Amino acid sequence: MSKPTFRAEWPPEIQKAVKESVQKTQKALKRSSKPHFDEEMQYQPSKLSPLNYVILKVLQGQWEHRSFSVLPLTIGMTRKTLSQVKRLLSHGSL
Amino acid sequence: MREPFKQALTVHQYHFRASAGEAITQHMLLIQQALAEVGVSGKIFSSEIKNLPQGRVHKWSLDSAWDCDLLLIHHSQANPEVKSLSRLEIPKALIYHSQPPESFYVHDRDMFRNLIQGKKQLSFWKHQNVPAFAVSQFGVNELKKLGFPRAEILPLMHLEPQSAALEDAEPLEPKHLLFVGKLMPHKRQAQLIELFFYLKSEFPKGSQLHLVGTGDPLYTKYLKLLVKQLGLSSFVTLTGKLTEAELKNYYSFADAFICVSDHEGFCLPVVEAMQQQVPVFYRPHSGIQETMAGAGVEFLSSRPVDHAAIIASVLKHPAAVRALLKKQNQRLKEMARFQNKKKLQEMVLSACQRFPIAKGSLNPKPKVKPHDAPFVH
Repeated sequence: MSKPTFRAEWPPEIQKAVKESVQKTQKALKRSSKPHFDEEMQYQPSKLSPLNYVILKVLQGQWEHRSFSVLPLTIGMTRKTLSQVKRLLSHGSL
Repeated sequence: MREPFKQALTVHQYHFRASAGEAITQHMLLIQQALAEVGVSGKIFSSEIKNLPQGRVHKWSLDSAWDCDLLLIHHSQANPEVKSLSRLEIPKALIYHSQPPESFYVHDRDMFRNLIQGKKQLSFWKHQNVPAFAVSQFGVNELKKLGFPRAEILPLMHLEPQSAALEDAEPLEPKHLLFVGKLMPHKRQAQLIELFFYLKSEFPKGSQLHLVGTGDPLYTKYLKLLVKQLGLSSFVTLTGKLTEAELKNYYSFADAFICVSDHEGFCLPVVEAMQQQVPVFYRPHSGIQETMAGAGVEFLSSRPVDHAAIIASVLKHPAAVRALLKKQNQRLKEMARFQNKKKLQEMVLSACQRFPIAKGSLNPKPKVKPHDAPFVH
């Protein structure tokens, strides 16, 4: 017997009706087209460099509260990377 | 009979960040409001204040909070003011808001460090003998593991017992699925998108998945890419940040609230969904299991295709939805016995009497330094 896929407190007649419907729908959905996930579609944040990550966060306004002088300490970023970000910001490139 | 509190009390609160709509800020405002109703004054202090009307939250400085009978320190991630807070010779209590494990943030060194530092700081407060509260049993259990044997639960919200008229949804009307939460990998919005891919063939035309919230910029980009690649651009909405009124509107037309998160400390949105008569489907992980306590539909499988089949089947059966909402309303009634302002007032006032100045806080050089505290798991 297959393992139950859900749990809910229902009267027996509702429980039975939902269970039957779930089994039927599962079969139909499994027969239908499956989403195709290629390598591009996997979530791979580790592939992004710390600099790009910082830029994304700055762009989204997530670091507006932080002082740039403490950034290297909080994210382990080198001073060289920090100066790159500062330069991009001052040139309006971000 | 003698009045329990003749002299006016002052209870201040602190959290390193305060912003509109954020859960910890909402909690601080609720505590402030509840205490004001019984004549207890108090200010809210924060180091970073964002999008809040002037005067609601005050900027923290070292001489800010000395004039209170109790300072409630809300603790989540790394707190930059641990040192200055610990040196204040006033009674303090900690309110811990559970955070996801740092293993969810290996890609984000900033968050990773903040979460580890936050845990180290809990250990520091433990050495300072600061009493602690959490906002769920899940959080209390975490605190007990970290060495706070007397940690207690503090109400997180004020629930009014309500009776709602249940209306059946039209089976042929488009369905609207909703999730409210930060866009973060451990909240698994990607899986919600995947389950909607399956569901769109089962649902009437015009049905949609609404993902409310902002968050990790990388993950947000990824979700947008996923939506595009799966051909769901006209089916999935990433709403971004909403006002309170806009959020209420989303709950008002939602047919189901779906949560497949790996970690939820309490999950306030499921309570909001239950209040708005929206059936809740969830994976029984972490704090959400305690919040729902058997109400709603638990997903026992982790496969999106199974989730899709369950949601489609339940929403096709009005009697099943009615029974779920009835059970959810019972759960809200149970919760309202504890989650209310009266209980909150009682507990904070009792804390004012019980908690003297923590022993360690009189010592300007504690043995365990706030930033060097050993990492305790």
